[in-house]
Amino acid sequence: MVRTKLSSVYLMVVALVLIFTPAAAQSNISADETFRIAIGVAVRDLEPTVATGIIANMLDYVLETLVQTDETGAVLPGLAESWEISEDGKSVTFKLRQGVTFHDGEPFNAEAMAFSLGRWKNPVVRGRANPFTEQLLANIEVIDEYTLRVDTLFTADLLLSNLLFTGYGAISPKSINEHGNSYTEPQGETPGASVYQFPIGTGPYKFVSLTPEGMNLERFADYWGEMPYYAGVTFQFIPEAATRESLLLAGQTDMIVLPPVSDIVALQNNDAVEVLIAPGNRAIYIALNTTREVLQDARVRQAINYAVDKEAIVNDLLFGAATVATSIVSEDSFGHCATGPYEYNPELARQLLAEAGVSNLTLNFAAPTGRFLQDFQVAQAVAAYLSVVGISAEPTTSDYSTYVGQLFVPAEAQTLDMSMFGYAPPGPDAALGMYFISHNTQITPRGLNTAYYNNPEYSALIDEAFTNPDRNVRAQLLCDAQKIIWEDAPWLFLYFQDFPIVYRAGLEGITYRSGEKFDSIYARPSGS
Amino acid sequence: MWRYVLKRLLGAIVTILGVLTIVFLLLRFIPGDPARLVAGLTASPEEVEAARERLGLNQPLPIQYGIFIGNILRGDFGTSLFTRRPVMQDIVARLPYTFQLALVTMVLTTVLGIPLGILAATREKMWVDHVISVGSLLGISLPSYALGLLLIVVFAVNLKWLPAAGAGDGIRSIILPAFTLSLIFLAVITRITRGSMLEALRQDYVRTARAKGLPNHQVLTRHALRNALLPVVTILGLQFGGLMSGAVLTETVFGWPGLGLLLTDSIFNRDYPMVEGLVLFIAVIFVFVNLAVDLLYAAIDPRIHYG
Repeated sequence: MVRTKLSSVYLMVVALVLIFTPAAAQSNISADETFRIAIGVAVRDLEPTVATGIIANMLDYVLETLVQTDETGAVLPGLAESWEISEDGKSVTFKLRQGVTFHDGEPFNAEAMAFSLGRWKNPVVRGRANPFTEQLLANIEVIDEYTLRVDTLFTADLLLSNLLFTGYGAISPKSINEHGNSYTEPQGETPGASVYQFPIGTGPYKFVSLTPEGMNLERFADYWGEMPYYAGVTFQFIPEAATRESLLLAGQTDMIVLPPVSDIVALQNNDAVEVLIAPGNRAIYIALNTTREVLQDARVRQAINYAVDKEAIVNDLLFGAATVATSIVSEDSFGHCATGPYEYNPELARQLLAEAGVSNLTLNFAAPTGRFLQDFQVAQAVAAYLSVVGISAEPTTSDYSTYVGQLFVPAEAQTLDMSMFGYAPPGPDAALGMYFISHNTQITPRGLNTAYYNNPEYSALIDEAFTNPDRNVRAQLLCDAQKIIWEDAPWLFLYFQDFPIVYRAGLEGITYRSGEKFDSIYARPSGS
Repeated sequence: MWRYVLKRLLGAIVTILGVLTIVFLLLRFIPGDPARLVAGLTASPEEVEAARERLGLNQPLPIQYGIFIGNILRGDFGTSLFTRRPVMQDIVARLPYTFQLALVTMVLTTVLGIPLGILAATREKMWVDHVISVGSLLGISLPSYALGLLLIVVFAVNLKWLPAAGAGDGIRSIILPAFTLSLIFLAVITRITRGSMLEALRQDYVRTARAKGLPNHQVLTRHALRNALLPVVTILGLQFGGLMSGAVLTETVFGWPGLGLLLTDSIFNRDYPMVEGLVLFIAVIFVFVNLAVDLLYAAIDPRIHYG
């Protein structure tokens, strides 16, 4: 009796499994034609104006910007064939490429480009007005069908550098109310709303679908430029680094980003795969709370910099996947000039501490876990180095959101003396790398200057670099500013995190772009 | 019986309301500011305030709570702070993945666990029993993370029999994650079945049955097993409820896009409405699974009646 009941339950369960299983099998593009990329983020939001990091990188296959970059961070023609900078350096007139169509068949022109840039200034889209963008894109003017002028309160250099950012890509104006996208203007009391999750751009691949498993793209037959080899691209969302590595080694994906750092050497020795280490622009540093009495003395802050062996940390904890910082900004930034590194010299550190009259120093140190490569491990190593010179700074950790909450408090409420962070600027210009994290208008909680660093002379140099139209003068201003902050040492300068890409052997055309980005758009089997 | 079900359902509403209230409060008391996270780290204080206002997080807590409960009663589960889409859309998209994994795991656990438990009980203190006991101890002790990676390396990387991760390959994709999950539950079910069977086998009615000269398999299945099954069914029910709320570690290792990953992502991002929607969903599932288990008791044990 029981047996028959139970066995019928089994049958039902098995039947249910069979009914629900086919739902999972949905990729019907044959594997040999689709290029598969495994990434660590499960992406749910594709709104271009808020996309950063890997999400922006995925959107690079679909959207194109006026200008584009390469490995070196140079500003190259994109949807704009050429541009002219006005005498005063405050306006850029773009000559747009002709014969470009959006994925929905709409023509690309100055009107569409102005519309796309205008979304950045629309509070309905961004949910807010952004003062930085207001100044950056002060005025957008359609001159004729293929000519667009952008006026900025900053300089043309900075504008062009910013426009490399994926979020400034062109989207079809018609698409904001199609394909499930929706846009409503505010009416009286009711606020407007914008949902844009089906991007329609001009890129070599068009968006097909975003599922919990991944994102699927298809080659765009009417693409204006060189046609990619693969008919489709699939991004697979695989949060665990070791699993991404296995997927590649099992031949079930073609390319992965960010493998487990500890396996990079083994992967380099494996003939079945190729390893490409792209230099990154993400500065990893430990902000020193410059409002704390003992840390107000620059000698103490310099001592902390001399006390830590950055070279050893990069080699032993990051397995070489980082570049020791020689300045506050990465080497491929416009205006970078080498001001360091602080060599490892515990003796000098002790001497500086003694000169400052500091002994038995205990500092309150916090770092996130799992946000940046080996973050908490590095924090622990830093603490070990500091203990050698007589500074006790045992790090504490928490999840990233809690940690951010801890950082964003005014100086008088801040209990932390040292806090680790990683910052990647929005474009390859030193002014951008410096402004958001060290300018005195950006002191937390106003901005991300978590060291509460306030040097008016330094900030004035950055301000001047934001507005001076002369490239050479700008470079000099930025270099002077880098020297000042390096001497002031409001941070323990660590390194710039690399961006490792691994792909199966027998492929060519895979490269990277400045700013933590992979580029496999023109990937193809070697010799084809 | 219907009166019983109705009574239980009324009780369920109180339970779910309680769970929602606790989650609502917990989310607002843990540190981390969603307005800052939504607006961005380099956003100005004005932008952060604008975001706070748009998200309704500037209202006093009791008002936020009132709006929250009111919306749920109207069937509006809110929109994600980040994607600005209804949270149910994301939950429903991931439900099939979680459901498949839970079902296959349950099937594996049941068809293997109960027979193994019976086998161990009937061979008490013999080598079969010892092997099963040690095996299940191993199953409980192995972290699913390590086991999952081990299985991937063996079956995907070396043997190339099965997909290493993802859900794109139908039933083949589900084998490794389901096996990883079921190994842990299998250990529990085997041990409980064994203990419960041993107790039943010592009862007078079993001795009577044997004395009557019934064949051994009839004594085991009709008399002993039927009585031993109640605790097993309870545990299976709870496990099913747990599996439906997502298996975070296994989902992470296998890149299986279930509810567990969505829940942890949302907690880490302080996506209040998404967490609240998921918890509501999970609470409802638990309540119904429990009710189903209780009703199943009556089917297994004729002495149980719900008047």
